[in-house]
Amino acid sequence: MDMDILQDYLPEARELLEKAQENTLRLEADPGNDEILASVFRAFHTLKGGAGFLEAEHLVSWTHHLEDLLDKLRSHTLTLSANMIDAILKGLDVIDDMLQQLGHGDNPTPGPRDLGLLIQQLAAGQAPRPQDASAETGAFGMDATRCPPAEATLLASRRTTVDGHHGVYVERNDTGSRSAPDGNDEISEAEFEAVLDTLYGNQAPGLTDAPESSCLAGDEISPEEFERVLDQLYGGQAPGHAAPEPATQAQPARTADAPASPVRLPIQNLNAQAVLPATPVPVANSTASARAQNIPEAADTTLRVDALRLDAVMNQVGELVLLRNRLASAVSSLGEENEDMARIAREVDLTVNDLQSTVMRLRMQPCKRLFQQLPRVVRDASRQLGKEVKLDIVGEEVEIDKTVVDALSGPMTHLIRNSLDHGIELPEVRQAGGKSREATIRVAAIHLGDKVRIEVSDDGCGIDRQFVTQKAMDKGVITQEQAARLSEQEALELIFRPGFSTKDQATDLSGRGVGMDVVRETVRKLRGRLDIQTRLGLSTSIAMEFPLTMAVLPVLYLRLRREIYALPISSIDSLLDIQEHRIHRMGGRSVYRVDDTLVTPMVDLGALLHERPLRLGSEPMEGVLTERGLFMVSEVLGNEDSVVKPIDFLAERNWYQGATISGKGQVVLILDPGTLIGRVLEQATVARTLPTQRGAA
Amino acid sequence: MEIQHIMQVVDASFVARQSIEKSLREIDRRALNAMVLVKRHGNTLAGYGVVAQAFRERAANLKESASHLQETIAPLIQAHMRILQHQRFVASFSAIAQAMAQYGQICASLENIRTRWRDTIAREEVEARKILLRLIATVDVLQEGIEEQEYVVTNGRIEAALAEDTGAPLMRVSRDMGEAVRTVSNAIRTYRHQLESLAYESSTDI
Amino acid sequence: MKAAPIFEAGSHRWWILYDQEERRVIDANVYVMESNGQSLILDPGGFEVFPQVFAALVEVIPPSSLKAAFVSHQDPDIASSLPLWHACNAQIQWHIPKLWEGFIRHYGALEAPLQNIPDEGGDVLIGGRRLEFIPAHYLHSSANFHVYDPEAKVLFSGDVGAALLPPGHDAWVGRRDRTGRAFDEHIAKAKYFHQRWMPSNAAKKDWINRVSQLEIEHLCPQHGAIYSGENVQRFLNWFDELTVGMGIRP
Repeated sequence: MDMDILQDYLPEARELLEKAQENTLRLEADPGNDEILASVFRAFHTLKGGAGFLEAEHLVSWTHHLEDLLDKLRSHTLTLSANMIDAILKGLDVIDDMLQQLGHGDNPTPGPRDLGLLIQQLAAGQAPRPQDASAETGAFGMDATRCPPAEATLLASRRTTVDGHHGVYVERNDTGSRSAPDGNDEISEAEFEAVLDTLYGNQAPGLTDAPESSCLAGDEISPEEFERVLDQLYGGQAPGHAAPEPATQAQPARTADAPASPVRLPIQNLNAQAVLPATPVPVANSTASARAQNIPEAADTTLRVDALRLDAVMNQVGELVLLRNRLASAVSSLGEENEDMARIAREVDLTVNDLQSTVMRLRMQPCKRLFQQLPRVVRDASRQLGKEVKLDIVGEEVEIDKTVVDALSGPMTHLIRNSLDHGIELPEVRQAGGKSREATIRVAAIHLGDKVRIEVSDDGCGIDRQFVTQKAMDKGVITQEQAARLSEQEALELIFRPGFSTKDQATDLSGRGVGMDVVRETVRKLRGRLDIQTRLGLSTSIAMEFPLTMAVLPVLYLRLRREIYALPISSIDSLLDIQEHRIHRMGGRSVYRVDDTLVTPMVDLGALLHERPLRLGSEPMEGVLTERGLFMVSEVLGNEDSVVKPIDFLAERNWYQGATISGKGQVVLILDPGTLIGRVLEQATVARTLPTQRGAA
Repeated sequence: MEIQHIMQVVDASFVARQSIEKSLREIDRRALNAMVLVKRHGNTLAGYGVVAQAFRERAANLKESASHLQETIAPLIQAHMRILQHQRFVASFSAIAQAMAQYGQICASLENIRTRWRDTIAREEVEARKILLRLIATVDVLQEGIEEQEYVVTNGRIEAALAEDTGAPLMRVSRDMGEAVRTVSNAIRTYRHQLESLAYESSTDI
Repeated sequence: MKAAPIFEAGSHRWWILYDQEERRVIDANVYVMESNGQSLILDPGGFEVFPQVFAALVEVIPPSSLKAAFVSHQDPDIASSLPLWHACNAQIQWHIPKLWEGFIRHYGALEAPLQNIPDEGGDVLIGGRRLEFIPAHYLHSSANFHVYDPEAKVLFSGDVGAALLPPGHDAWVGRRDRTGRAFDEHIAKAKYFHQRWMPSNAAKKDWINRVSQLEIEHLCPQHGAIYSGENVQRFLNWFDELTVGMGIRP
């Protein structure tokens, strides 16, 4: 396998795949849209072409049959049915698997035989076998019956029409006139070329109108030619995002000459280059036509860069940031007489800031990448569960750090499935309860200052705290005594405890190894925070907030006796002078009355980290107010834009987010406020449930 | 110089120092609060960030000046206590001279010693006055720092007004900063008056 | 001289003023206890070091808060500054061993208000907190008292525990040393002082019995450094073992 081609092919193929999936789902609502049909067709075609160069024969044959099917749909030889959409979607999943195999350096194994046959049958205009169809019966209001074998096949299906009515469709397909699949899954390059010829006739690139192409070997086409042909075919409407991949069409030798870095020229627009740092701006326009219009001028401005290289740049900038901090600290200790040094340090400071935000922007990606898988998840799951669900997606254009986009894909899917599985009621139940049959799941990304908030909410049945508490007791997550003391919110948050969401509820949907505890852990690792709100019978909303960037972490340094720690500024509300008369005891916990409207738990860092509480009046004390509690420290020292270094030698359960190096060159541990507060509340719960032991101690 | 007056100034020094230290801590906390607020709002409050940073730097400078204040108060007190000590000597020599005078005796060397101590005290009083003037100069530096800080606070108010639509409570933060600066400003002004009255008295003594 | 806090709990504080600059006289510590804005100065020191003691004192308390002074015995390194303090603040009540009243007046300030402590001890109220005068006669003076603050668990122990330390010394005996090595090093510098200045083994035993009843977190001598935590018991054990009164060879 040619690794250079593979490196070019894989990301491109994944993009095509995502686009194809999105478009296939759109076809469901708009089956007659030629433009979309053509785009999906082209995706398979391009996938196949590249797979051919990679000699991934099974991928070639798999895409070939899908291409075949789409070709007939495109040319209106066949009419799109729900069965076909199912088959195409499943076919896409298979391609995804194959791409993963390729990614591991393996030549893909053959796709599942049944599905392959089904696709071929569909492409041949035959109805799928009954057992396949019955599996879908009822879920989508569709039934298909295969007519007796004949030269021509009649396909009857019950379908939902575009305007929402149900109807029976009977189609006649003349199978005899088409070339039936010969069972050979492989196509040779010659065959591939032949297919192209059939498709494009004398317009086939390389044969006629491109003068420069005549010097190429006869069976090679240049990417430019291919592009042009496609443009002729589809005009300016060609969906830019799924633009054919020149590199994959190029001959191996040509690709080998190319620079080692996988650099790709077209796609996407150049807006991203001009935005202010840290301000998310839509990168991709949401409509295909708008995107298509952007293509011409954008064509030469986008590079595809290996993520590893980006990470390397990021890390180096991180080191630079730390050095900048040290320089600033060293210069400030020189005193006032060094005006020159101070000015240089200030300029270095500004330059590094600029560099940092530029590099940060390189890593920003629109949430669209995170959300685009969700319509499929909702579609599949709702059909399987017999639920009717509308998915609203808001804020696709909001940008967030790539790390978050990458890490959150699993948890997002889980949250959606969870909502579908446990949150949303069956249509009849909803109707009986006075709700609309169709439920709504809303996924939103919202930009809030230095954070991005991602919400998954539904208008389902909400979460029953008593049920959750009971279940947590049954599963031994908490004791009965603890359960009795939980606040409502704490009861709700039990669903995030490890060991809560396991086995017995593991329907096919929610229990796929990602539990709510994993969601919480992922959010924690991304330095985010998780919040859950529910109204019984009405709605549930899970909100996750993440820092805009993972690259730099603005921290507040604080002193606890002789040690220095850091807290992420994103978690801090304000700094307070602690006044004794505002401290109260409530249910075994120390709370602080910040003002008339806010009473918050107190977190004594001395007690937690030194096992020796800070004593007000005997030693200096200041308060750091966070959203969920007031941290008591000896002194707040100052702030700095820092860079997080992961710590890997600590136990799983710890309260650090990582470490950083301060301007003074000290290694400083960064505290995780969420975990610390959780621990304090936990301890208070334990303390309250063991009053006798405590009294005896 | 009246010892009780010196004691009053010593007490005032203590109170002023405590009040200045406390207010400076408060100012620093306000400045950090503002920095936190700015950081929390991404880039939208960058303008205010500059102000908050300046406020914090000035607060650090003020702290530095205040520590010089402490360095000057201690020698002043020590100088005056040394004078007090030496006045005791003069007093006891005077008592002896008085007692001898009752018997009509005059001891020239005793008178000599007494004069020598008086001269010493006079020199020490000049020295103490120098320290006092140095202390007042230090307080002036502190006062200038406070004025700069007040200027920064005003800038902050303008920036806050400009950034009002971001929803960040900048006006409140600016007001808090202004209040903290005013407290320290008042403490310093009162202290300066007390030092001035001591300086006036010492100048009439000499 | 430097000031350092020994104990701090709200408005209740103890301070040590230590490491005096004047080396021609014996280095002595001065202690200050403050409670609710009133303060007590313990063994305020000699006439010569008064200016530096005073300057160090006003770093930690306003001089007007001084309500009382305690004088453990009659020695000049302890009480010869009396007339100067009195000149600064005539309101200060002087708690002195009754036996030494006539002697102490020799330092001057005949009109200063002296409060005699009888041989069996007594107490004093400072800012609402009661401090006890613990008899420590013959350690080393024939009428000698220590002061105990039961709330702060501080014992001011006069010359008991004293050590002759070089300039720049620390206020504590190896506070962070758990091994006892720092104590051993320190106590060598305390040995001669106790052997020679303390006259009576019987008085020593009597004192140890008395003091062992008290809960002591900080044992604060007038010379040398403070014994805190485990060092308190280490000192009591060491002192118990030591034979004193070596000026007379049996």
